[in-house]
Amino acid sequence: MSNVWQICRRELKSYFVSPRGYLVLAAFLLLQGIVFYLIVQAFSREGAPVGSIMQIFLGRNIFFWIFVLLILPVITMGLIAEERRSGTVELLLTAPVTEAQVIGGKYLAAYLYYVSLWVPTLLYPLLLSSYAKLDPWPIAAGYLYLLCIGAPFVALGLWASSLSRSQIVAAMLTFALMFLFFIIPVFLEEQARAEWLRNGLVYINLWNPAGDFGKGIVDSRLIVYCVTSTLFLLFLSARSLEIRKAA
Amino acid sequence: MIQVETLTKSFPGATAIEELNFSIERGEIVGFLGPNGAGKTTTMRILTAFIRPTSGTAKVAGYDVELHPLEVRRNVGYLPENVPSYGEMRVEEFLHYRARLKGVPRRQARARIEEVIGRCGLGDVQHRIVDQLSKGYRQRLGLAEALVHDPPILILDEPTVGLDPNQIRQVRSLITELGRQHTILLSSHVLPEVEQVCGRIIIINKGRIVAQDRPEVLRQSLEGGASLLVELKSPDAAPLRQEEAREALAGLDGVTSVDAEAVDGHVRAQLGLERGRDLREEVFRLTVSRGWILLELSQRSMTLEEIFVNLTTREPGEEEAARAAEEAREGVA
Repeated sequence: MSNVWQICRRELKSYFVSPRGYLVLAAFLLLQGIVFYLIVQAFSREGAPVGSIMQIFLGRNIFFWIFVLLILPVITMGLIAEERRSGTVELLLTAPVTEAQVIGGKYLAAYLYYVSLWVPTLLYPLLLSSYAKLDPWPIAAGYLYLLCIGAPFVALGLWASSLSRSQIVAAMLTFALMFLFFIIPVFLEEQARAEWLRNGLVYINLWNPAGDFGKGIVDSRLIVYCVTSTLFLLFLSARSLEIRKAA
Repeated sequence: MIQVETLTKSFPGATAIEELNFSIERGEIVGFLGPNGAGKTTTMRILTAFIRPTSGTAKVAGYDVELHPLEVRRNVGYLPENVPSYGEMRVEEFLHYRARLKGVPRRQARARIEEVIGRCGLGDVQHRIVDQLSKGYRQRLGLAEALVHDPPILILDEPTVGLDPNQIRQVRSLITELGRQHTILLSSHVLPEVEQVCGRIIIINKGRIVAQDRPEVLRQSLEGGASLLVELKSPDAAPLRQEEAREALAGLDGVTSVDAEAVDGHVRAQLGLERGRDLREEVFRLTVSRGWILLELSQRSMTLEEIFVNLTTREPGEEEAARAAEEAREGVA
């Protein structure tokens, strides 16, 4: 466990000592700020439900997805690809640590960084609450939703990063895979003829649950899906490190 | 401390090392010598459990590299070839991270880091960022990193490459000093370097061990093999054919290698001779019987450098290479 923490700590530091970490954070906040402003403006007519502003902000607008899909590859692309390119992977994997610990530490760091991107947006509901009385639970569920969907996406990025020594390739692969996973259920669900296929697509749809979570309905199916797919992707990443050993 | 048996590693399309056998006892400093691409790095990577061998076994500190990779790594300090490190970290911070990752308890980490910083002469740069270090300091940082968990075994891949002569001397004396407490395997393609530091040399070429022994013994057993420089010319205006001369010379009993080149219609050839043989007379008789004109004939003994070149530049499978290798082995036995 100590090893996981050491690796995680170094990785987190590397996010926050490089300009990249702050650049991503700043760009993300700027764009989210603009989106928030637009949503607030749209809802500022008389009698509009103030609570739904956060509901829309957290996952029910297309910008949310554009930002998430674009920024996640940037967070994860270097995790292992950079270690391979610079040769430090040789240091990392000749220390007494297992592949699983490396993956665990790296994942934790990237995930914490992803979470840290969202922390400043907690100001938005605070801001809103000075104008109207807000129910805190749907907002909490909304944040739980983005914690959920972030988990498999970060794991996907980590896996893609373990496949290549080029950060660009890793980023492109992450983006393409995330886009597929996101787009297929959302747009093909309607067209699926077979019942079982439609049900399957509903299960892996990451867009729809945003509505429920925004209303405060915590759907355990999404949590299970996110946790299992994360674990599976982490397993693949650890395997990809181990396979390199034999090559 | 290190036992290697029939160790083989092949990559798709190439065999990096083939059936290596050697062992290293506690307290030895062993030099791993060979040209680039001989398989030194591959072997070291297997010994640090970074890659898996295709077949054969390697035991480090009593642990099999495939079955107990973590135990192996705990007992080994490794300096990879181009000394990778995290450029954005500070020297001290980097060492602290590595120490903790290698299982040095938090309480002892500070003392360990101070010790390796002192030993490797990093005191002046301990607060600097790794990316800003000169090549010499980087190399020392790599050594400090390898030492930080005080492992009984050090595996150093080309520890002096890219350093200036002064730095080389410093690193060399550091390694000699470390050799009092650690078992060391270091690689190099510079012969005089390993000769000065190491108690034993393993010469490896194209994935195979071609010779191994104490440097003095290697020198003695191989130095005797002299070389003969011959320059020939045909009696008429027609230039002498290089192949013809080469064949004739190679046919002499006692010649181990022929290195011939054509110069202005003459043929200059360097003959490698078996140990203790003097073939000047035979060469003279040969030229007379063929009717060639002998322009030059001089004999000199091989330097250690040439022995190395000789052992490592021929294609394996060639008869003469096999013979040379055999000789070397016989010589050191």
